[in-house]
Amino acid sequence: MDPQFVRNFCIIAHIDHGKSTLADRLLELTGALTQREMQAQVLDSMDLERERGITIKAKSIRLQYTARDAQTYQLNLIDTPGHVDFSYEVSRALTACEGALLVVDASQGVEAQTVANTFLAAQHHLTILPVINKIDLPAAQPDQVKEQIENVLAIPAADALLISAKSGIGVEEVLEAVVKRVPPPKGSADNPLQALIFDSWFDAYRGCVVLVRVMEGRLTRGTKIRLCSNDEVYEVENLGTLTPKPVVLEELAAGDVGFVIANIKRVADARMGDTIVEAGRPAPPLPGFEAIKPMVFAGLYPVLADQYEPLRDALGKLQLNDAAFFYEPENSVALGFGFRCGFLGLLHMEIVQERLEREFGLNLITTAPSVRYRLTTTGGEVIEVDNPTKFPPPNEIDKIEEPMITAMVITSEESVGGILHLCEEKRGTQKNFEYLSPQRVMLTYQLPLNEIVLDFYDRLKSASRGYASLDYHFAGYHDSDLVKLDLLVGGEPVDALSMICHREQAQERGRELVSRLRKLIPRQMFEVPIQAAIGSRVIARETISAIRKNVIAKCYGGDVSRKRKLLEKQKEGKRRMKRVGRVDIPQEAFLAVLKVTSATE
Amino acid sequence: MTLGVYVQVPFCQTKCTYCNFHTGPVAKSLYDPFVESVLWEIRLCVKSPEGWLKQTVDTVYVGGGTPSLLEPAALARVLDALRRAFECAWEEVTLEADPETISPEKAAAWRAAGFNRISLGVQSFADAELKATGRMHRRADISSAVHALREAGFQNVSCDLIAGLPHQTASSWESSLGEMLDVRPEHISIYMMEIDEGSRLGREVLSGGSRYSAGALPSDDEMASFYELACARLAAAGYEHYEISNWALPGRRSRHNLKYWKREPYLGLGAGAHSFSGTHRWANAHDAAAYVRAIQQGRVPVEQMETVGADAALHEELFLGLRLLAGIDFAEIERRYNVSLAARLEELRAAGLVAIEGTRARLAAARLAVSNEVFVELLG
Repeated sequence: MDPQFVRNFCIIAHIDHGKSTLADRLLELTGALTQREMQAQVLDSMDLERERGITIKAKSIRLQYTARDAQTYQLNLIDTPGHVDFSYEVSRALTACEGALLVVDASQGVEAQTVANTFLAAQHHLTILPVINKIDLPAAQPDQVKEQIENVLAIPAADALLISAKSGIGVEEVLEAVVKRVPPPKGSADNPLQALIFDSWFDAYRGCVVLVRVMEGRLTRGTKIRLCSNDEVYEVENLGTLTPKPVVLEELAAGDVGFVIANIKRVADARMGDTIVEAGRPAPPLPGFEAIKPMVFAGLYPVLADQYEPLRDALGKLQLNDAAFFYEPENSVALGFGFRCGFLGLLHMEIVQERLEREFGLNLITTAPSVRYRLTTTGGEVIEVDNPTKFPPPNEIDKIEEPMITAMVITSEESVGGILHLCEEKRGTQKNFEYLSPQRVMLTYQLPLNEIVLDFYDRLKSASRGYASLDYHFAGYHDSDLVKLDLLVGGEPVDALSMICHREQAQERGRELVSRLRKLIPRQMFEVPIQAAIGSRVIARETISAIRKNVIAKCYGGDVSRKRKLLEKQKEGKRRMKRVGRVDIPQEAFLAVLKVTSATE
Repeated sequence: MTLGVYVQVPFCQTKCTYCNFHTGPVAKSLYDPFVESVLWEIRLCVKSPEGWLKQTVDTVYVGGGTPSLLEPAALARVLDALRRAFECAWEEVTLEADPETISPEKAAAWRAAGFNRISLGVQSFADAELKATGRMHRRADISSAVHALREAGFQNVSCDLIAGLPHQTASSWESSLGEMLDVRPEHISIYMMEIDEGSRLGREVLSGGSRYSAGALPSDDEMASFYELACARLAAAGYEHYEISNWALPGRRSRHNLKYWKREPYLGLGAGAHSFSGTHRWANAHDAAAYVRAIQQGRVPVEQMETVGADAALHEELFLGLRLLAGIDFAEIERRYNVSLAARLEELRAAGLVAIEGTRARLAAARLAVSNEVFVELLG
């Protein structure tokens, strides 16, 4: 098709502002799916995506639309993940588009994700069409939302489309606006091939399926292609488009969006943001490619040792489809054999954890999430460490840098106080404080990522009674006075309880952990000191005194079975504990300490 | 080997707050049918082809509950029936009794029936503690009861005390110990309070409530101190500590109770009674009415039965044997069960949990009150 009749666009929106519903309406209106085929929220096809109302993987759907000018247009709707964890995926998907529908809920107004994704879209020079959704709700305030869009996002909103995706009001106008206002793709099919990979997934029958936007040139069956990031050469076996059903095509030319199957074995080989060029006529790669790096790390351990193998298999299967997910075997004195896993962010971690439990029926212990620190040793070597247990001793560390983020929080005026307090407690530095309206405030903070991964989001929600929205992006590494806090039980360091924290917080964290552990570890036959230490310096200590009474009293009428059962029960309880040195530590002690680390609880 | 016979009488006037046993007050009208049922059960045993029942009975123990609530004549009928049913060479015939149930007449009748040992449920000499736990007797009843027993000719009396009753303090415990030593029974049992789901007091404590003086319960550490004080005082008074909870003047150890620790056979009769044949353990129906019904319908009243496998037998050997202060002959157990224990015991010795002399191992004196911890280490 002539590129002037092609429109590539995406929808950006805060969670629950109606992105998926609008997508469904567009599909319906253009006849991409019959009513019978229509499954609510087609784009979000993973169960988890539908339940959480979020889109994890970007996808694209080609729609045929005959506009009021009687021309038939090819509209490629490219779906983007809405969550901050996946901002790199978002940025790649945006690169594949010329325009974006900015959907804002008419009663909620602009939220943190709206802001973050709009800025991202603007950076990619996309034409942004504001769409105010849910205008049929009684609480809708489209005029105020228009004002917010103009004030906060600096986007003219006089022509904002007023719609209700749910009831279909104004949806046709959306399609017209896409045709009229989103520019057609540039590029020429005669130029050397440059195709952007913006998604890929693993299909058991076809291998890796790659979604591309052809920027220049053309792809046909049999084309010998090269992936720029790894110089691997493949031959295109099949290509086509999703309507959302896959439709095989003869070619994908400049401006087109579609899928390519080229016998690529692993999704990790078809990396998002990479450029496909013709092997015999190579063009330079498109800008913006980055290898995805996990930001958040945690240990995943099977509760039962015999689930180690199934866990390993499950992780392998997940990774087939999720190049951003990383894992390697790890061994903890306290928790046994498990895996160190890297995630894009907390949501990504939760999703992986949930999929492991739900789809693979595994029962898991997840250790406290941590981040990747950059250490300069006294020998001048720079190393990256994502596991507190792998930290070198303090006297071998010259400098520690930690990853920072710039966080944007949009909240109601009355909860600002609590949120400022939270951000300060989490070692934040205020960068901006802006009233979006008399009732709404946008805060920008620079924060250490390790403060975010623990309980920041939960506490933000409770400080704002659920109203605050958060978005953040990575803001580089900063020097920081960090220390590794070790926990010693009975004089033995317990690896799974080590944590990295700021020197100023160490004392308080140490005291708190020690006192919590004292309550969770049962009394033993000897006195058990519990210590928090930095290197060899003990900063907090409590003692569990020795147990003095655990005896079965009377043998009522020779009832020996009862005694035996009682001892069996005690033995079973012991077996569920982890012995570190001579001390038996119950599983709950690890979990309770690892899960909750906020000073206020 | 000889056989012990235990008769369980699950009746009480009231239910003590700390009691975690299947006993309690019932209508007096159930007493006679119950005794009749025990007599029928004895007859059932006579008909049994089991060889182990042909052994000579040397100890009889009538416990409860409060068997002293039964008419002396009823108790006499039970003993007579046993004499008729079994080969008998009775050395020790014990009746459990609560102080307030004892009168000179009853004491004489028990003696005449053939009882030669009385186990007295004293529990405490402090009225506040007795009252708070629902005991029916008071301090004054104890001395008159002992007096009546002595008058009737009982030369073997045992007294129970509980360390850890609500309201018990270091000084009240010391007074109870002192008064007990003044009574100078031939045998003393001291049990530490057990807090579990089985008793009203235990449930109250576990759920954080305050009924049954739950708030006035001494701490575990205090109970341990009470126990340690008792160990010292009783030893000084000439009592031999022969089992975690039991002390006796020379020659007065309970022959019947020793069978439990030594895994010698015993036959249990009555509701909730436990039996051990050497290879099997079983228990009669705990509910008195269910027990009576079973007997009346000609059924064996057994409620649960288990075969003691080799592993379980070994475990029993260890945790029962180690309750005795004489300990176990581990070389002999190793031989009999074809296991090796020496290395593990040596580890426990090094950790200060057991003492070893030659091929005998016993709990270290300081670990008696945490014996369960030691057993779990040993068996785990």
